[in-house]
Amino acid sequence: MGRFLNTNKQTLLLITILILLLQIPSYFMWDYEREGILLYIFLILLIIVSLILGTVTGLIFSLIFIFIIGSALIYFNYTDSAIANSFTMPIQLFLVYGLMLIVLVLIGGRLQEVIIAREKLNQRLQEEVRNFIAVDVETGFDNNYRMGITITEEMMRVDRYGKSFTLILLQIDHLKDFNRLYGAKETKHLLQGLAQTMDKAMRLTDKKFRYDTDRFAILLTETGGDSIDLVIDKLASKIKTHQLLSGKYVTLTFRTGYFVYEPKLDTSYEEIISRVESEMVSHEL
Amino acid sequence: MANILFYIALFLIWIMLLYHMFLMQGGYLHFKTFERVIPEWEKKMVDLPTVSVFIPAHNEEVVIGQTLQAMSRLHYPKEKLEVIVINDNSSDRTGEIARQFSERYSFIRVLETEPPNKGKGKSSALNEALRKSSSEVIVVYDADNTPEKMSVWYLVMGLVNDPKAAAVVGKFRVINAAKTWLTRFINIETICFQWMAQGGRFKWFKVATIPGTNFAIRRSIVEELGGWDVKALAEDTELTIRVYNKGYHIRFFPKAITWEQEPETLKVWWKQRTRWARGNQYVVLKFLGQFFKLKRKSIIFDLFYFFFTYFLFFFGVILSNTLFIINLFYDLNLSIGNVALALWILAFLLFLAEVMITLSIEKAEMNRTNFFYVILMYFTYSQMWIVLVVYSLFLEMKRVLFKQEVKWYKTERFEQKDKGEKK
Repeated sequence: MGRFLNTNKQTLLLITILILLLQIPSYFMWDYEREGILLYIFLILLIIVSLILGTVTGLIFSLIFIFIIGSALIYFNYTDSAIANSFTMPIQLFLVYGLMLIVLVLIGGRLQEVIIAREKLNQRLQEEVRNFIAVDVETGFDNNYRMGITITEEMMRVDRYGKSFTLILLQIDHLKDFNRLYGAKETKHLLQGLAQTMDKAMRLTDKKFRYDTDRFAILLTETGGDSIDLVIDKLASKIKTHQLLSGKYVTLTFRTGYFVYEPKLDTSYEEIISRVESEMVSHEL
Repeated sequence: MANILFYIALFLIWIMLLYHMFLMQGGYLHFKTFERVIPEWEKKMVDLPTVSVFIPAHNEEVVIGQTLQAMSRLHYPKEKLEVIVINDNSSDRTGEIARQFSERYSFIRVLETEPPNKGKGKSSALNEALRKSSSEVIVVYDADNTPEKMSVWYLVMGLVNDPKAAAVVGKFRVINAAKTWLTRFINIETICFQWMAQGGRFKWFKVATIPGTNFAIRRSIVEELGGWDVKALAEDTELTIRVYNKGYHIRFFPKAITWEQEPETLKVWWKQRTRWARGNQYVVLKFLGQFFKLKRKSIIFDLFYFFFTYFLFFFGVILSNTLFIINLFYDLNLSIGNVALALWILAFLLFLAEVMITLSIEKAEMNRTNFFYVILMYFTYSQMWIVLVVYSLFLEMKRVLFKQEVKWYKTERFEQKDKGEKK
């Protein structure tokens, strides 16, 4: 947090310095009409380049700009052109302008670096928060993020040590309609009730996840495909009837599917989920 | 007449500034891209060649211990690596300290130079080690260098993956950069040299100069060339030209990094840089004179760079400064007027911007302190070089006219704390 606040202070300080220092050339340049205004416009453009693209790009463009001015001065002076004679700006002011150009481009570039660094810090902190909070608030089950990690780890474990595991996916039908009909409070009560029932119906070693708004997953470790249908039917029978907070009973419908993972199967976590979801069967009871 | 001379001088300076801008762009692009090949190159690092690391040392007791400590940490199969400390006529404890390391580490050994190579300078010492070793690859480090753990690995990686490269040169950084105002200037200078001159020339022209330390060269090539030139004060530049002339090229691979000590006093700096300037002038004049005999005309880029730097550019600066000063006392009817001053300011700004861009390549070097040092450097260190080049040219002409023998000046060392592995 401290680092975050310090970054903010640094950004504000750099912006302040940039704005204040910009006043110096603007105060002097306007007196020199065309050449002063032109030089000031280029100064602003170069600062914009460094703010968007960074210090190095800003300096490279400044370099090209300075070189072009110098080459033009040599050429027009050598050809005795009237343009060379119209260069009326005092040398001291020209030196100050040049130095201000480099300094302001450096400050602009530094500002860009600080903002980019802050953005990266934000993203990193968000990622850390995501990693830290891996639990679904309503049901207490692990969320989608944790599910991916757990199942991948289980796949690796099975590949290494043998045995198999079964993944059951369960989708509540018409949850949106339920929410519209009965409200958020009833929906929350429903989800909590489902979670409690699933907890009681399954083994302690079975891992439960809520990986989407209306979807649950149960990871049955050390379990093959035998009698999985019985397990699912038993689960469905326990959760099909739900009592609302109002006391009224409703019947729920689900779609389910499962996948048995055996050692060295050539598939990935995402492929398993995708396949099971596409093969889900409705349990209308 | 004065006007024409002034315009010629301005033109020379302006062209050199444009060339450096071009090199700086190339150097920056090289920095952004040179590491991309490494994952692919690592795959070929299986059947590694044998390597001999040569460390010529004459009265290096102040630094040799630290150097050998760094050598003991090198990441390379020890059965294929030998580190040879070439103890060249030392009157201090260099030999004793080196022998202590050779007793502790079986891959480190000490070689005492013998006549006629004894006490004749770095080239002779290297030739002595060349005769008494047999590895496939030779790596050279100065006695004040502390290479990073992976430096030899990366140098050899360059050779293994680029069969047309006779040599691979790494990057050197200044270990005592923060010590004095002089070492700060030298630090900025070395960063600019590495990335502008080496990186920029390698990016655009596939040309790099052997810097005398932190480079690897195939033994077969060195033997084919007859070893190092004992008459050259800048044996590294001289070897570079001969390598190119044989049809090979030199790769600049800044992943291999070494840290070296730079002079902390003006007196030591002056003597060292005079030797370098004389050495480079000798090389330029030697090979320009043989230009039509050179087999690879593309080497002209390297010669051109040194010729322009040591002769034309400084000539332009000296000429314009001289005319400017004379005009203060005697009216030369210089028509350029205020524009000359404007150009002088622009040249200064170009210098400032180019150096700041180059400093951005090395972590934490583009900072407020260095910004002010660069400004100060333009008016002090850079101007000192002008005097130094003129002085070294005078000494070189004197040597040629009076057929004097070349004397190798050994750079004095300063006590440093071992900072271990530098990042």
